[in-house]
Amino acid sequence: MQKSLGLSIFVSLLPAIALFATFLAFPFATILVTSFFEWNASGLTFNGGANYLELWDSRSFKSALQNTAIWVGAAVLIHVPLAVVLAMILSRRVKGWKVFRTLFFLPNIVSYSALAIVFLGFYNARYGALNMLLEDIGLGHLQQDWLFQYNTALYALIATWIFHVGLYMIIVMAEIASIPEDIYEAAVIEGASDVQQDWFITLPLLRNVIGTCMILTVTQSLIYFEGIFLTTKGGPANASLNMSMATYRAFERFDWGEANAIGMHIVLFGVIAIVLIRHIFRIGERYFD
Amino acid sequence: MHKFLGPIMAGAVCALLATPAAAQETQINWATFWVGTNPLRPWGEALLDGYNAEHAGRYQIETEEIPGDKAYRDKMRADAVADALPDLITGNTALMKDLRDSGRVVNLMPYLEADPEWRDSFFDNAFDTYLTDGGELYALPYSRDYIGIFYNKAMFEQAGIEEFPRTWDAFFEACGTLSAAGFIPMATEGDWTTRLMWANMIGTQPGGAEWLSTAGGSGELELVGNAPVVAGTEMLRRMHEEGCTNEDAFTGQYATGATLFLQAEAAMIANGPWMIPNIKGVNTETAEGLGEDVDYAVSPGTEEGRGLIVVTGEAGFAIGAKDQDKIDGSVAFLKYLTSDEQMLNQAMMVSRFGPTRMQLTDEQRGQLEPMLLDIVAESEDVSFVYPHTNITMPTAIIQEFINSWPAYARGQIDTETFLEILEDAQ
Repeated sequence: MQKSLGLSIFVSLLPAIALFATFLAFPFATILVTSFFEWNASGLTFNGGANYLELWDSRSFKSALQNTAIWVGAAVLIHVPLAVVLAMILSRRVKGWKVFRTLFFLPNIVSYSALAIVFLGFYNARYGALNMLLEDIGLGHLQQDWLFQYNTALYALIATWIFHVGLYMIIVMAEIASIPEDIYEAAVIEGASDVQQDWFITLPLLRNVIGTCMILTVTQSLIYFEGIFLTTKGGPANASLNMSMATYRAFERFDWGEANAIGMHIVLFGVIAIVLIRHIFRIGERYFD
Repeated sequence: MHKFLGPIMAGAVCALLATPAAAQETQINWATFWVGTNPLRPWGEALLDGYNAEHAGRYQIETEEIPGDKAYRDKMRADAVADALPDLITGNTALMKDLRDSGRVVNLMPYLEADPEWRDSFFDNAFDTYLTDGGELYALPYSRDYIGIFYNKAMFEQAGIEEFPRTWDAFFEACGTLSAAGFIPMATEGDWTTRLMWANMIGTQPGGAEWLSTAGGSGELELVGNAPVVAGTEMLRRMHEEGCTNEDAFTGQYATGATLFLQAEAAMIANGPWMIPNIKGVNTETAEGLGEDVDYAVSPGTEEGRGLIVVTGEAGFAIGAKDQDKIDGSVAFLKYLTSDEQMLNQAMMVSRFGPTRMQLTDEQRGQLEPMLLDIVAESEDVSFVYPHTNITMPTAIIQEFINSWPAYARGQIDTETFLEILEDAQ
């Protein structure tokens, strides 16, 4: 009886195991193993850790690391906090909150390929709307080739994405809606102001969902690609190069072993980030335990 | 009745077996990106129809359509690694070099040696791009491109410039004059058209043409301290410093520069003759009358003469087939591709010449684009002939050029650092 139960559990899990092995375990193992090989048109040649050593010695990889760190920093310090603040404001059902909720969410359902083309035009040095606007308001001296100037490229790209906070805003709003109303009623009886309610009740109760949003935004920032690929391609002079774009560049050079070594860095940083965030936000722990 | 059925059926089977088997048609697979809006598509279709009709019953080519040259390149690389290449592959020099490195494409030299008439129909040095040090030919060229500079005669006239500049000094003077007249002198985008000007500026320096023509073999390129490269690179930066180009010259998007020229906002653009149909308004929105206003010129140069980019085999065909019958069918296709009839078709349909010594009749000349014939005629009058940087430089250097060029052009890094960065990228 016991044996046949075990067998039936195994058989029922088999499709899931097969899918996991085919689409997750096998590709991951391939990336890991081939990151220790020179992999190009001539085939696979084991080269130990040469791909990793070359990367750590490479100027462009250092730029990619630094830019990725800035991007992740912006996600953690601006992207998610902005989403939380907006969610807390809109959850108070301010006038027109449904319209604002829709407006903030809309960019999340527009293809980034389309948005990238729009931003290429918006930032264009010759006819871009931003430069025209600056000219019109008397700030013509600030006009730039925003996407192709070393000092502005990365920040111009971050700006195209950082305000698309609709997804996290919706998630946080859903969590706020699940907070029992009687907690706020008790606080009001005790004389707590709106700000005190937000600070001492809402925010602490959002710890789990904020942590989850942090994990999502950090992992997405680590693999962010299309906006950079469609605009600056990591230039000028690696000013906007991140790790995903560096992976693509290695892939383009037919240096697949190095591409996979960069990929392994992304995986490693992703795992570290997830562990750290889970620890900091004590994700999974109930607030009232 | 039943007693007759057995003998009848046995007779039928014997009759079928006795019938001589029809020669089996060999299927050849051609993976191609000449599809959709690709300008080579009409010629590709003509090739396919013509070959299949000529070899009906013996060989039949079927295409595997992969839209987009980059997607195609990635697929071919993956196929090479997996030892699963299609029978016929087409692509640019970089892809062909990858296929050479894979060791999985057929050496075509024995087939050319076996057919001297076919071999001798090609220009001298036509095979250089695809020849290994050991004399193996891993791809067959099908193009011979004369890449000059398109210029808008109407804009030049309005600015008071009588002829296209013959020297670099005159070129920079013309840039200033065109700029003063309110035109963008030269359309660029920081990639292809910029690198064509880079090749022109290197190629017309003393020793530059020779370096561009010979340095692209094996081994790493030396750029730092290389006199023609340094001089040509600094001249390219001067083009930006003196405002010869558009403000948005670093997008890396071909459309940035091309649109400016096609809309008659820029007076010049370096590009190959395949742009002629666009200039004439084929499948493209252009400024009114542009087709009549544009002419094609060779590059300015020095007192020693002008220069021109001539590339034989920027694009080629390789054979990935393993079965001898399929290889033979693919070689037959290459012979058909490089026949006079198809080379003329290419010139008419794509405005691109082939690598063979095609003799044109007056009637055939009349069917070709005059600008194309003019640039070929002018090629006799230049002192320097050289390939462009796609031929000389590996993908890694080109990738790094696009990346670092904006910082160099804006003076944020000096020439030595820029060339060092390019050199290190190899």
